Amino acid sequence: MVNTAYFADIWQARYFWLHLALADIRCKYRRSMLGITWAILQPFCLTLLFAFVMSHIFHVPMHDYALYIYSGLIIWEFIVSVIMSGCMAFINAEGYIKQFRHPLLIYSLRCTLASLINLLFASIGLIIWILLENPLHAGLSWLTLFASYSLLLLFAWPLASLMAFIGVRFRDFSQVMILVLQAIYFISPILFLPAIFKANGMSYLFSWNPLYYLLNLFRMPLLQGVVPAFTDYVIVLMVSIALWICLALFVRRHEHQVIFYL
Amino acid sequence: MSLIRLANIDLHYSSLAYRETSLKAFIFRKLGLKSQPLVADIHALKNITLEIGAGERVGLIGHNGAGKSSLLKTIAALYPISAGKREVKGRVRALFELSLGFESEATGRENIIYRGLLLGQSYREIHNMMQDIIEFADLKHFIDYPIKTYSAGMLVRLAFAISTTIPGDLLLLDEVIGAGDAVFAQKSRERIRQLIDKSSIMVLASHDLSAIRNLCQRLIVLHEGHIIHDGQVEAGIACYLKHQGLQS
Repeated sequence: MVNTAYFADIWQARYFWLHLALADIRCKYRRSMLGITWAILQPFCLTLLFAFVMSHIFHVPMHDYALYIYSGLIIWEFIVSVIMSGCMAFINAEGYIKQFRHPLLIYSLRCTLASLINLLFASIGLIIWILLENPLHAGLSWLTLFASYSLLLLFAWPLASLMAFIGVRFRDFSQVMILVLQAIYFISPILFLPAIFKANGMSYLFSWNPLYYLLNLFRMPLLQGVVPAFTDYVIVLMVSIALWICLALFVRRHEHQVIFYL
Repeated sequence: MSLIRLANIDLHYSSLAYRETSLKAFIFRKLGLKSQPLVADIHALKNITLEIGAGERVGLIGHNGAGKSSLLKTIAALYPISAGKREVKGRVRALFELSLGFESEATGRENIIYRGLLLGQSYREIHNMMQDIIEFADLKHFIDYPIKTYSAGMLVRLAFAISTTIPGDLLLLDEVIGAGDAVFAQKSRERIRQLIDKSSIMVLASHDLSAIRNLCQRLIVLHEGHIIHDGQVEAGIACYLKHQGLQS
């Protein structure tokens, strides 16, 4: 079922997509004094603002809450960036797609990797913050973070690819996704603690939300120093597999049509 | 050994691509709120059969819309064929639209790296070829300028230098030779001869009859997606001109 030749072609082109992803990062922070530290500063400033307001509204200590928000924000920014750049992945690669026959998934991998590198930098900020504030949480449970980031890539790549296939066919799709993302933002435990949803009888909002489990993969080890729950892994893995199956159908039916839509 | 073998190839351009490009249009049609006249798929290549063997230099001629670019891109396996059998052996080096596949903000040097990587080379291999490419393109200090500052002729030189330095077996050129100046035209002719000696195939689509006479030893004339001549260059040019005359 799995076409190994297709992935072999992707591997063959590895120098190319790696270079593109790194060039994206360089381009994003070119001509800015602070450069890549913006990847840390931007969510950090946003966190301070949110934490200040939220801790007053919900009467929770600002300290714990700020880390919760920061971790939520950087993962969320990653998802947004994967989806939005995914929508444009094929459109922006028009020049390459029209001249060379590479597997199209390398172009969605490019934007997934660029977003991931950005996230890794933002994560460094988070880790330094935790070490300064609560070094006791650092421990063996942090080893699970390798699995968490790998799973995140396994989840995000097919997501970006699906966006790319739909985005190249329907040029207004990214507008629709902006709306959808805003909606998801408000019903996900990114800023709000699950306890707040629970207290208002809306626990279904996170128990049915794959993002909740995805966030747990990072928050459990980083914020609480514990290994994520088994269900967290299972659900994220199942969602990722579902995305890959969807994507396989798209690739089979539409991979060679994409050049007509450009 | 390089080889191109096409048997009874049909190519259709999907009309879906320009019928509805937005989600809005798609949903409106599904809901039956808007009826659109159905546009048929374009039948770009009709029952094309041809074989090109190692060392052949083939010209491709025909008026606009005759299917020259479609045929080149079909050989490059960029387009999905709707019928027939396509067999292409060898690594394809294609020069289609020149500005495509270049990063306009990056310098000439950086673009050599981009192109090289795109063509499947490693950093080290590109590094080894870099000096060769720069010398052949002969862009002097411009090589360190962003390529958005380049003229069309300079772009051609750079693209041609990269595509012919990186080893490949099938060189597909679409209307690009003409953009260089006389000196470069001479250099590129020599370069193409060298490639042919390495038993590569070249297919050149052009309106430039002198380029075709100079570079090709076989000519294919396309007309409305059909091959109407495949053989000698002079006979092909006569056939093409006759068709042009009938058209106007």
